[in-house]
Amino acid sequence: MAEKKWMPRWFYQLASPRWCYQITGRLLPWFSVAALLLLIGGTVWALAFAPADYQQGNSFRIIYLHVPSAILAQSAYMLMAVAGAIGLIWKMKVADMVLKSAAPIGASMAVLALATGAIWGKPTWGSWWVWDARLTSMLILLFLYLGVMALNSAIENESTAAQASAVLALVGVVNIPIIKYSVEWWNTLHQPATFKLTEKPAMPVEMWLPLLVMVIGFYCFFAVSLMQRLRNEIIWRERRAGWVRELLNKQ
Amino acid sequence: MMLFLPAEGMPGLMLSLLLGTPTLSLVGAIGAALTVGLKKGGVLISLLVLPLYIPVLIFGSSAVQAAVTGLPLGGYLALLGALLALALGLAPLAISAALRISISS
Repeated sequence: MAEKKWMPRWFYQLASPRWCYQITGRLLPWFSVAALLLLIGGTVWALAFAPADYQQGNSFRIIYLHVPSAILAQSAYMLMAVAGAIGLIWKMKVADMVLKSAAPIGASMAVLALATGAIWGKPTWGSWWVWDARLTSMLILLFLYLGVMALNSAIENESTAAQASAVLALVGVVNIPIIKYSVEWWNTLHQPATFKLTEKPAMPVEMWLPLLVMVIGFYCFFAVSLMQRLRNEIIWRERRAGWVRELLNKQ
Repeated sequence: MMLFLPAEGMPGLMLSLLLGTPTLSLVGAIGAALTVGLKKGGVLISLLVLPLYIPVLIFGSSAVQAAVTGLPLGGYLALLGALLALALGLAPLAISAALRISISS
C-alpha cells in the first residue's frame, strides 16, 4: 500500500538538515535587509515623527519597543512549541534544532518586554513592578523559556534532550492564552491589547503605523537570528556528515 | 487561629486546598517524570515546575482573600476546578510521554 502523502513537498524537504541549511542561506540576506530597513525606518519614524501622547508626553514612545518585543516573546514560544510537537510526532531532527535555537531568542525578547515595561511603568503607574496578571504571566513565560533551556542543556543525549524539552514546551502552552486574555479576564493596571485583528486600533494612524512597522521589523529580526542559530546548530550536529566537510574544505 | 486568618476564611481555604493540591501534584509529577533520569534534577525540577504552579496559587489565594472579605468565592473555586479537570485530563499523557523519553536514553 502506497503511503498517503498529505503534506506538501517542502515539509518533507525541511526534514533534511542539508536542504534546510541551503534554503536558510538563500533567505537570510533578504530577511537581514528587510529587518535592517524596517527597524531603522520604524525607530526614526517612532522617535522623531510620531506625535506625542496628550497624557504621557514623550514617555509613551517606549511602546515602540515594548509591544513588538512582547508580541515576539509569545510568537517565539508558539513557534517553539509547534517545533517541539513536530519533533515529537515526526521525529524530525531539524524541528529539534529549531526548538533549541528559538528558546534563547524568545527568552531575550521576554526580558526586553519586561524591562521596557518596568521602565514605562515607573512614570505612568509610579512603580517598577506590580503583581498584575499580565506582568506575572509574562514572567512565567520567561521562566518557561529558562526551564526549556536548562532542561535542554541538562540532558546529554541530544534526542532525549529535545524530546523532554518539547514536552515541557507543550505543557507551557497553557500559559499563552492566560497572557493573551489576562487583560480582559482581570481588570488590572495593564491596558488592553494595542492591536487586534478584528478591530481598528484605538490610537491614531500616525501612532500605530510606525508601531506596525516595528512589529514587522522585529519579526524579520527574529527570523534572521533564528536562521543564524539554526545554521550554527545544523553545522555542529552534522559535523561528521560529508556535505559539511565539503563545505568547510571549500572555505 | 493559624497565621491570624479569620475564622470565616477557613471554609474557603479548605475548599481551595482541596481543589488546588491535586493540580499541584499532577504538575509536579510532569516535572519529576522529565527529570527522573538526571543525577542532579533537584534544582532543575523547581525551575520547571514553579512557573506552572503560579496560576493555581493565584486563584487559591484569591479564593481565600474573597472568603475573608466576605465576597462570593464561587468563581475562583470554579477556575481551580477547571484547572484540576484540565490537569487530570492532560497531565497523565504528558507524564507518560516524559517517562518514556526519560527511560529511553
